[in-house]
Amino acid sequence: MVLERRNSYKRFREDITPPRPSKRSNSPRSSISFSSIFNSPPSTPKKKVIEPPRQKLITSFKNVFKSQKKFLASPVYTDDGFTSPTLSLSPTISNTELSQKYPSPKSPILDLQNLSFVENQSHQIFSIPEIVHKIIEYIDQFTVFPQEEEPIRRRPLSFEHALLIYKNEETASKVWNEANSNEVLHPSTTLKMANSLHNCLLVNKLWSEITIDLISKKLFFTKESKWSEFISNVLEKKTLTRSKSNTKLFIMHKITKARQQDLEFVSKKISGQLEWIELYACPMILPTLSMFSGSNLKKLVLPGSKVVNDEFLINASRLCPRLERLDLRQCLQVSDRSIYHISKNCPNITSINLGRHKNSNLITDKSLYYISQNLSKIETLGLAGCAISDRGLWQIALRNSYTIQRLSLNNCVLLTNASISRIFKNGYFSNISVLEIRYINGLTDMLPLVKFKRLKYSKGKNVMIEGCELIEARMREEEWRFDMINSSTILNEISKWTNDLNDGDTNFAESSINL
Amino acid sequence: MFRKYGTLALLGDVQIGKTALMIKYVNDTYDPHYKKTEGVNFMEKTIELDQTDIRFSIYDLGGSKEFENMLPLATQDAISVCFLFDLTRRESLENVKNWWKLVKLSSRNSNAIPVLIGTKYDIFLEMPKEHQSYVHSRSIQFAKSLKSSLIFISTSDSINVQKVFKILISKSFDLKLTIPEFFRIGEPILIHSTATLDSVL
Repeated sequence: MVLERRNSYKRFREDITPPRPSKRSNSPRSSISFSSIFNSPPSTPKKKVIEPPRQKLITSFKNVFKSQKKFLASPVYTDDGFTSPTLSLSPTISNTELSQKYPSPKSPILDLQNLSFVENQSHQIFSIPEIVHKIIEYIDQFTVFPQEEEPIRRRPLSFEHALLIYKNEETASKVWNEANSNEVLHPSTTLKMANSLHNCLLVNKLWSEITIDLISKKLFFTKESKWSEFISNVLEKKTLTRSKSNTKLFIMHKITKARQQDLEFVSKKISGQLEWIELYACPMILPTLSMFSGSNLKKLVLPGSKVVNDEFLINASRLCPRLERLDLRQCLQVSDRSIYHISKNCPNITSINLGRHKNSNLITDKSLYYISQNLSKIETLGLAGCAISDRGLWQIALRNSYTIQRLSLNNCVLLTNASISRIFKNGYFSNISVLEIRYINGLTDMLPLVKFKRLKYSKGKNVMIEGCELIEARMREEEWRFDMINSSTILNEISKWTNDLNDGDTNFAESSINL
Repeated sequence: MFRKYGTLALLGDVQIGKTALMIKYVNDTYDPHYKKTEGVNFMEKTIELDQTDIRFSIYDLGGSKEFENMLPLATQDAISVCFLFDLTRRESLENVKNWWKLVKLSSRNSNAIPVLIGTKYDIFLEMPKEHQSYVHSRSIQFAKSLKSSLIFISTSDSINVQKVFKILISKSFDLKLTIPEFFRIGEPILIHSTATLDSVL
């Protein structure tokens, strides 16, 4: 019976993957609805009596749920612990009496009660694969991926810089001190539930089967040791023994010593369904082309890679037509040529980052031309340190003015007033929310930027314009001048109005004659 | 477009014409029938200049004793507090002292600009000369001690109604006023500079 049940569950898993519960409460409740079917035999006359008290079930459910370890440590959870709902409602009728009165329908679900394991150790619902799947999926929500935190505001370069940005000594010194003592907590230590999935592995066979299935969807590595352990396990065929890969996410975070041959070996096991590949600061390895099979890839993150080159990107772009986010920061070998092919092959890209500190002349206006012609959905554009000129930026402004939301132009030393200032003066880039313009020394006309910022602010949107000390100082000066001009016009107007005698009041000079 | 805000409170005894002044200013209408204000009235008026909007928020507090506890509601954010008195009733002028004390006691807002306003100027003109000269000199005394502007208005005849708000706003922005001043007996008094105030009497 159990076998039958499990087989049917397997089919269920293949047919429909249940949607991930979005809220905390969703998960337990939906599983309870399963149990109500399971506990009440259908079409019995005294249905109300046998129906389980939901509240009780939920609380007992939660108890187990909260303390996975406790549950494991004491397997002697007898029927007293989780009193059968039928008994608690009508204590005069025992289980046997009940079964005599209403002979149980011959469904495999109810027959589960006869299993010794279920009877002795835990509530029955914990052996229903669908429910266990729900539970583990719920826990899986707390899994934290190793990810670079997106800064809300970039760190100031110096105390003077902070002072320019925050205009207030107290906040400036606070931010500056924070920036100096920046200690990012490792994400996995911040959440308690983070490792609960591993506990789920130890419950029983059913639980571990389902957990392994869920774990293998998301593979991520942050430590060298874990990676090499994983490799040896795969070599010995201990893990990833499934026939078809279901891995959707593959992240290697700062594993600098990883070898290409290991990845090549693993890639066969994980490719097919991948949607997200991230090799963050792993300079010596490249994702293999087989990893792109299935054409599901949406996010490709390869910052700081020394081996990513045009050939690789051209081949890869052909295999991922659904790509949305591409991060190639500090990939110094990437040039205009690959941008051409990427823009041709991946029209859905919304975010592309080509920031770099060296080899700036590899990315020129040509790239911007290809992007503006082919990527109509582009929202985020990282061009820090690229050899782009006014012409290229105008190209983007003319074709992608409304979609662009974040634009990084740090260190684009060729840019001048003719692009940035003019573009904003003419009302392009009206939806931009973040603009980074550090170290563009040619930018001196800040008035259009100040006006744009004030306009957005009056509409309740805060535009972040990031500059270096020089740019920020120019901004502040322009803002001050702008405010001075404004307030003088305001005061002039008001004083003109107050001194205007023609205002509807009876003029005393005329009326005095009558007095 | 820029927008500046001016909040002001109208205070004074019962049946002086506070609500009438407010309605006259905001809607430019005058209703001779008296209706007692219960609690606080509130109205807004926006004046549109070229690039600037001035928005006046006017709080009008009922003159009865029972509404005195609502005073902070009217005065808390006010840039200006207007003390109104009835030119035809001497005791209403004397009561300005009490109103001023109440404001000092209840409000933490000490920056508010005081303005002394005498109402019903049209009726006042028909009254005996000695009453006129008494009220004239007494009100100037009050204005001196309050360090405030002094204006005689008539809501029904639209005398100096707009001027009240112009003087208020220019005082709050510290602007130069060139409106001609009147300070002799019988004239609709309009004194906004301290120099004139000191030179009278």
